[in-house]
Amino acid sequence: MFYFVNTGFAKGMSGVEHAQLKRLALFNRFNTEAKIVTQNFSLDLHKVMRSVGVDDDQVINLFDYFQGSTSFMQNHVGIEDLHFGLGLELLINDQDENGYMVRNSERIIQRIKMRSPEYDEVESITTYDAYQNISKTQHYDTRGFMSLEQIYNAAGSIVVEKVYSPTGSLVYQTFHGEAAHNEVDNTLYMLIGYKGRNYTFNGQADLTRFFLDELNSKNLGNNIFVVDRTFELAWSVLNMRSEAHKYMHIHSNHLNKPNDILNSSLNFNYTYALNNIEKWDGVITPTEKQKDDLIARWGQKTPIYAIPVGSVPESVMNSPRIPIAERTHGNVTMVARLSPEKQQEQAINAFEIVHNLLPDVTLTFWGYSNGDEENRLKGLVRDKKLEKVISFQNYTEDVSTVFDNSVLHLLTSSAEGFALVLMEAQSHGVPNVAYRVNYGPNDIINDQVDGALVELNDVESLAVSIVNLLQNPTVLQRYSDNSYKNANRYSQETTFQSWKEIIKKGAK
Amino acid sequence: MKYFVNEYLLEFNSGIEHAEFHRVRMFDSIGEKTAIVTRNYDNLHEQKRIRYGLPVGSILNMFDYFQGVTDVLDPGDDFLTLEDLNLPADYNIKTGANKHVVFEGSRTVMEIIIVPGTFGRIKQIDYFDKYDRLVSSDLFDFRGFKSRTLYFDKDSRLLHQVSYDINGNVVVEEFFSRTESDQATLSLIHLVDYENHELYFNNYDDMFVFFLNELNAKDKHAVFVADRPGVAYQSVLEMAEPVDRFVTIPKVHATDKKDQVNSNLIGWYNDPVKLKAEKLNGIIVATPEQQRDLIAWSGGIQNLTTNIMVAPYAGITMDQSDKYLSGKDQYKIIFVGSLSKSNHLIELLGMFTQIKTSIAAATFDIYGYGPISTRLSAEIKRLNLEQDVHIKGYVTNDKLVEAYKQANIIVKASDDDSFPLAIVESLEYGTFPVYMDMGYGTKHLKTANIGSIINEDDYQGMVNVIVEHILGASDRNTMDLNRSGLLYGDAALRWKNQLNAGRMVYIEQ
Repeated sequence: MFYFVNTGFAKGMSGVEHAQLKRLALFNRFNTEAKIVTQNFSLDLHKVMRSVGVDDDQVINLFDYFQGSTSFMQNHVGIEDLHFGLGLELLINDQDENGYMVRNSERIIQRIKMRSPEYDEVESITTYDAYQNISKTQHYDTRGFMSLEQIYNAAGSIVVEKVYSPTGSLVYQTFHGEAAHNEVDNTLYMLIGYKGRNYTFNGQADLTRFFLDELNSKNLGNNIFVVDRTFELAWSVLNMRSEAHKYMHIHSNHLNKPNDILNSSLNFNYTYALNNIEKWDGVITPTEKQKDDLIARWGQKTPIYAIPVGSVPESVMNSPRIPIAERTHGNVTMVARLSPEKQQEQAINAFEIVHNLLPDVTLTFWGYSNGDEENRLKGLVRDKKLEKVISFQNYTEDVSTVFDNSVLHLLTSSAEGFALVLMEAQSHGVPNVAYRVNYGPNDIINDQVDGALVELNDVESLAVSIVNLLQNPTVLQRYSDNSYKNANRYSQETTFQSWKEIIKKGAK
Repeated sequence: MKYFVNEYLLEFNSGIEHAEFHRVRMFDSIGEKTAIVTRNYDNLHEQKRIRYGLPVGSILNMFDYFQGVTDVLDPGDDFLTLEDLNLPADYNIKTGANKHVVFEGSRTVMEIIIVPGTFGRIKQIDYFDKYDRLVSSDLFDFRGFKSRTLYFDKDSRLLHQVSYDINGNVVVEEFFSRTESDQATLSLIHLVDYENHELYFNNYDDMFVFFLNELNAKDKHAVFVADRPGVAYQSVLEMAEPVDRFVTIPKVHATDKKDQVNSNLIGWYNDPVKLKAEKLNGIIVATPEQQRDLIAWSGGIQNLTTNIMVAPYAGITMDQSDKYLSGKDQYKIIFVGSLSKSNHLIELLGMFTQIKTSIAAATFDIYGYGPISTRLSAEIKRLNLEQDVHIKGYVTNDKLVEAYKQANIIVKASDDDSFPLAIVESLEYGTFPVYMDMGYGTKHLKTANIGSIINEDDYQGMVNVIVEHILGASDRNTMDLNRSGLLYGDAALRWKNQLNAGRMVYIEQ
């Protein structure tokens, strides 16, 4: 069994999550057993996974595992399913018209929040003590059972968190100590009654290690763990006590100084994992170029595999090609998280230049924001008075439609491990313009064939490339045709072929 | 069933509890099951029950009731030990007589506390976090199941606790806030899914009243007797009608010990005797003398709104006291009771020094605990009596019985007793009582020709009687039980009868 290990999945997904989803779809297509494994507690993991087409039985969360809810089906908990004792009255919440409150003759005992947008399922219940302070809050999993209870102290801090199984048994609890600022300091983790015993752990890493060993006990020796987030998870995987195949997967540039292959300090995400390279059964990187750089520094004692992180689904491969002329005129897009390393600011600056020459061209950003970045970028657009031509759309699950309507795609990242968006754009015949950086853009885009590569941070050249292409429909169409063709490199068959060796090593 | 309502049972108990124990045994002797009802949580109450020699099921605790464990029995020799905990193989355990410490590598995972006085019987498990801070404790009932979990706040004050049923489901949840001086204070009780309802209480008192009402609702023949002023009295008085309820008075009822008819009631008797008397089927006192005084205090029978009745607080079984006479230590004198000012122990000590001048071999053993214990020790030392006078403390029933068997004489000089409990207990074993005429019950003993009554404050007289008895009268027995009315059998029937009483019926004038 393949286990693709991650910290968690939420509604807004990054490249790592997309890579795992594509890999899962690929393995499913070729009948190789695989599951996504997540570590973090979540109330809506299953809703999120179902929304991206992943069945419940293909995702195992640490808490689900101990809650015994890995295959729990949907249950409905409405307000009518809660019982209130004698002397308690249920009313509409005077602070939230979509919710309820419970009171006795003296005071309000509980406030109940219902889940939007239908407001017919219970989302959370807050219970108040005699001093009107919160005693506890209870949170319901989207599948319809009370999953998490948080106990508060008089100062309003959460001190204890308890996790329950769908049948109401306590399975896990954790304690919070004094923490700096807004950080949470979990000082103890406990599993309650797991296989008849209580276990305690000092830290998350230890708890995860225990979980992975338990997971590994089924089909012991035949399991392959692929760790996609090594900063958070490598220690737990490498310190498993049971026998397993372990692979680390790189998703961005491992070097802080891209040009200093042999001596540069390492991207913090991979420092620990690469410092312990000999403990892995293999290292997986999305591009050949990165594989070469890794070998140059660490040799081949640990096998290094270059495997694209995505593949183009058959349905897309077989879709009819859409000529540029039939797409939304002048619709330039950039699909990426709004964050400093993606450098959307430079795209805006470049577009300022483009706009002066081609006033009816638009730039649309698609992606969720990290922190305050969205507000900052919007402010920039306002300052430049470009609100009419630059817009921000949120994260979307339907990138296909976005690309089918785009005439050009930008990526201004300073570094990328792969950049699935470039491949996806190509598979929809959208030429890419990006900075010439390692590793993805350099690997995926063929300069002057299916797209354009520009020197890093050269905003003017970026603007020039965009203008040239948009003013030259024949070239643009040729790039589009070549993009469709180049996408064949990433067909599912080709990509899966690259996994064969690892699969063979894992099987017995 | 008859419920004797108290607040708690402790390691060291008072006359109130001892009276309850006697009453339970009395009813047991006539084949009737009764229970002492307690409010406060106690995971070791079963150990106490066994220690007090009470029948199975005679302690009914409020938390036991909600946890559904009232019928769970002590497992005898098969009690919960370290091996039963099934700890993970990774753990290293340092065992000990009072506690085991459990390590994972060098980290202390937990400490396992043993029930004092047992061999490895588990009472509690304490869990520590990475800063070696106590974060949580599991309490185990003496009968071997996990009963409660406590959760502590970051500064180790109690934050939250839950009590479980036998299957590990939470049935009671409690939350704690902070007082102004940062002490933990109860802020919410949640009774979980009790008969399909969620119930909330602000404090244990409200919960206790709810509990008593439930007992009453489910038991057609329920009778409640509140024995302890304060929580027990108030809770029983607050129960919903219809209910059969009584109050017993544990000591003298008025503030002036020498004038129980005209002086004010001691504060906590105001409700049962005066303000809320009509809610009671009756008030029970231990002696006809106190009954007479209480009626007089109320202004006569015509002023009463509740029955004032008599039933003795202890009794004795069969007259087998003769068989213990040969085993007695002729020179041993004992006192049994609380070490408090009202029992005049300093004076009794003085009296003993006088006895010593006539009888060098005399010894004096003092059983009990209380506020003047330190002063008493100092006085014993000052008088150079350490060889002959010993403070034995509060001992278990079996040890006390041994003391009664061995002792020749038992003394008492209490000015606020409602009943000479220890003296009556000692009669079972042929001990000769010498007692001062104070408090209630002494006249009764005199009428029954039991022991020797001494005039109030006449300690010299007490010396004379004791010396005479030690030297001469080993053949003189004090028993005349047929006239004493102190037989258990009689006492039990008397209680049964009194507790059958209904409310006093008003006749409108």
